[in-house]
Amino acid sequence: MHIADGVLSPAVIAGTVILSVGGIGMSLKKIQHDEIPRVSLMAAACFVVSMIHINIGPASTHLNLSGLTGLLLGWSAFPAMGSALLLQCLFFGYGGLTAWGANTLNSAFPALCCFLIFRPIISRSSKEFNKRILAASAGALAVIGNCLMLAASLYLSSPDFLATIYAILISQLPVIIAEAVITAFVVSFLGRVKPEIFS
Amino acid sequence: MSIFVINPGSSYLSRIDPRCRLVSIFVLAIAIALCHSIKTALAVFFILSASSIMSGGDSSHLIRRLIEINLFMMFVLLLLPFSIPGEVFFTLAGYNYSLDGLMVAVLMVLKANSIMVLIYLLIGCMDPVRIAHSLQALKIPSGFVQIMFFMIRYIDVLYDECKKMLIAAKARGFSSGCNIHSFRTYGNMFGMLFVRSLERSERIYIAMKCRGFRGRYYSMASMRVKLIDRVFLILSFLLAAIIIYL
Repeated sequence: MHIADGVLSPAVIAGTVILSVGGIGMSLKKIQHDEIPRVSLMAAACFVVSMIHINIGPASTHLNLSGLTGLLLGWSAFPAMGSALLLQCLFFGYGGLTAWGANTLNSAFPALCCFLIFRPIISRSSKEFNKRILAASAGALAVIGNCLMLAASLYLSSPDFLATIYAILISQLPVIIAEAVITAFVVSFLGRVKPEIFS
Repeated sequence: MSIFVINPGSSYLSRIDPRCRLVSIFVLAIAIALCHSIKTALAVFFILSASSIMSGGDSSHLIRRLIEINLFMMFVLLLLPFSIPGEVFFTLAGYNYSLDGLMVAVLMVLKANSIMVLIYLLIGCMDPVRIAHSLQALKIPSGFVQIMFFMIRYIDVLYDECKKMLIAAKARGFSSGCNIHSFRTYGNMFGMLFVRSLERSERIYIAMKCRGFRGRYYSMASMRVKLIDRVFLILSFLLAAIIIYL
């Protein structure tokens, strides 16, 4: 769920933009220029995956797969998501322009945390089952982190958003399960077919 | 066909330098986000909508974007007034939907829609590659802009690949449902997409290295700031100041 324009307070806009720009700057320092095609194509693949709608119960939703993006991209998740969200905002109307900082931070920071926590254990674990469980928790935690940060940015803008925040959190519950299951299958597929992707 | 739907018409704004248009979007978007009077927001929304209708072109693109942005605003519009005290508009199960809250929510909806219309008006008919070039000219870090260039180029390619895989799965009798088999199929499909993207990126890197890529794209179109661009920039700064001041 991306935040639209006009909802965040000026302080939250400024703070989140500074933090996202800082994150992007830090990760751009780490990326060598020969890595850019790999980072961009993985980011483009994540973008494409997020355009596919999947049936969950009676409704259909699209996935974010931010946990998977984090596992695959690591620190590069910041510029990848920043650039994806700018494209989303300028061409499709998902998320607002002034909320760009908040949206980038909310999706890239949990992704980065997933990378730091889960990537070392996933690449070390040899059992298929453990890999799946770890990947599922990474997928779920990324969405939960994303939702909590979204809630925080709305709540810091105005405490009156509490009812709205509850509604958004409840609407995201089925997405958490779907993300976890699909992340697990993608990671186990990649572990069998292209293990070096996680090395 | 590209997924980046570009409004095919050319508006009277398309003569303005793209960098000036981007700067004006950023400044005006901040001004609109800071605006706190509902009358000003309403006026801005009508002025922007009128100018984008007058600028010609197919407004179905604009409507599609506005639908997307208003899906989020529905949450705000329906629920925010319940938590703001004030004159009661109606009561639902013991909770009061306040008129004051409704005004706050409507202001937010107007701001969100105005900024979307603004973006559509100024760069709705601009080629995405041109926007990336302008961002590069505005001294956005080259790593970030390069990622954007690649994404603009390859999202279409990968989307086609993904669609082919979906068609292939459907041809083999796959129907999407809410069960573990569907999720496994999607997981394998997306996994395959990642494998192919990784291999494609290796081929791209080698091809670029052969051609002497040095970490920067060059634009053939010359970008020069003319008098009309200056006037346009000054006008948009003035408008931004008026919006914040009112």
